[in-house]
Amino acid sequence: MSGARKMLLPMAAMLCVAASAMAAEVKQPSSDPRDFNGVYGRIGGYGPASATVVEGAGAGAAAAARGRGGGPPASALAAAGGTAVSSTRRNRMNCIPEAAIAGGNPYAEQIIQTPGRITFLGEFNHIVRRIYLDRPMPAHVTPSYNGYSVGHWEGDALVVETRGFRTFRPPGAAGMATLDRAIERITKSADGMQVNKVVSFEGRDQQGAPMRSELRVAYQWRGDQHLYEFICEEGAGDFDGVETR
Amino acid sequence: MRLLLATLLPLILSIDMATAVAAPDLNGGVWVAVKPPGALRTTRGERPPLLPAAATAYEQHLADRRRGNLDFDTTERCLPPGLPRILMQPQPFEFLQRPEQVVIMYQWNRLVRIVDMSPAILDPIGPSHLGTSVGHWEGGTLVIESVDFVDSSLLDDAGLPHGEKLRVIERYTPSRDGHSMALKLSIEDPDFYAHAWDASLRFRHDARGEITEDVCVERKKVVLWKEP
Repeated sequence: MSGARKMLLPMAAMLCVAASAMAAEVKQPSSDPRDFNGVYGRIGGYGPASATVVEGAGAGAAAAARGRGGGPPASALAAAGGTAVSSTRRNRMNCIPEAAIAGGNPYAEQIIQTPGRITFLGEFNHIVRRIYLDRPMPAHVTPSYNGYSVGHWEGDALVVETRGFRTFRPPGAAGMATLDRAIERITKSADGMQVNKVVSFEGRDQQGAPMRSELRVAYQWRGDQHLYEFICEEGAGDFDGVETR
Repeated sequence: MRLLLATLLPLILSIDMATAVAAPDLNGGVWVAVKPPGALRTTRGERPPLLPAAATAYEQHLADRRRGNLDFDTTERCLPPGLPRILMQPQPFEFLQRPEQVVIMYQWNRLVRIVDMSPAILDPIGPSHLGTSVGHWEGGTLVIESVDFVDSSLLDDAGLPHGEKLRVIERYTPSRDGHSMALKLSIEDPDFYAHAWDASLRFRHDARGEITEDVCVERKKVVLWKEP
């Protein structure tokens, strides 16, 4: 089976489910601004959202992340000291979970709120982010691709701190020599149809100076969808055609 | 009066049956299988009632495993252990429980099952490794029915085979103190087993446990794609 066909299968499945679900019922988002429960899809295609350096050398410039059809050229990425281009591709082709914090694909994402927890469940490679609301950040965190996240509410904004990213750093932080933490501020639009987040990456540049970059990701409500089983390992290596970084 | 009683009694009893044991809260902590069997047996401790062709396949799997040939086992390539095999792995799992859905999140390669608790059954859209599941509460027991599986997975580590007609019913009953949970499994597949059969598993609760990020290809050192 060609890579393109394998790639299309989950997409077709998503559409089938969507059609099936639409025939039955289209769920509407809650009017509660703190209720994010439901299925969403990132607005935009493959590739992480564009990031901007907001503190440190090169402030105001694009950080080493870009979306489809935009962002800095490869030479600029190299100049920024980022090696995430090749490692991102290698990881995706080998079914390594990418850091979902930057929102790298348009597949469905479900947000599930349970007592003391908010869970982001991505259909693509079943990447899971657990955000604990009932505990502080542990003193020691075992590094993982998606880090360890704790959150709290500031008004109707969910503020999430994530530490302990593994060496494959989130794209928005690719220009950093070290990444200390990421802070997300997640809110819902007034009509409930969109979840917006601003992600701030805090770290140090190659010279050890503080550096901060920021990116924005938006998710559209998809009340007609349901997550489908996505097994990356069945089609490993077939994601080359959709790689945009 | 008798007529009134006769009319109301079944109603009262049914309400009482449904509300006597409220659905437990499964949120929080993780669950770990207690002495999970490598080879699944019926509740009577017997080998499942394999049909002849299925028995031959099973014997072949056992022989292959003894020889160290694991080609038949797709989990070696990081494809999901099917159901109920995934429940017998050493890695923990957790529940996210909401009225409309129960989501079961396994540590094993971050696999997830979404169990629809609404009365409407979502139409299966094609076979999957963990099937399509719907659930409901029967007092303090979570009942999940799953169908629509791929036929390449196995029921257990030993190599019990199944086909696409596999139907699994899980009945999870947490203990009153919430420290443990019994699971009764009902398994049927008319193409592989002579009749439906039951098995049981047990889990312990770790209230402070957390699911950690598991990347199967790293754990098993599988290289799926090499740079050209």
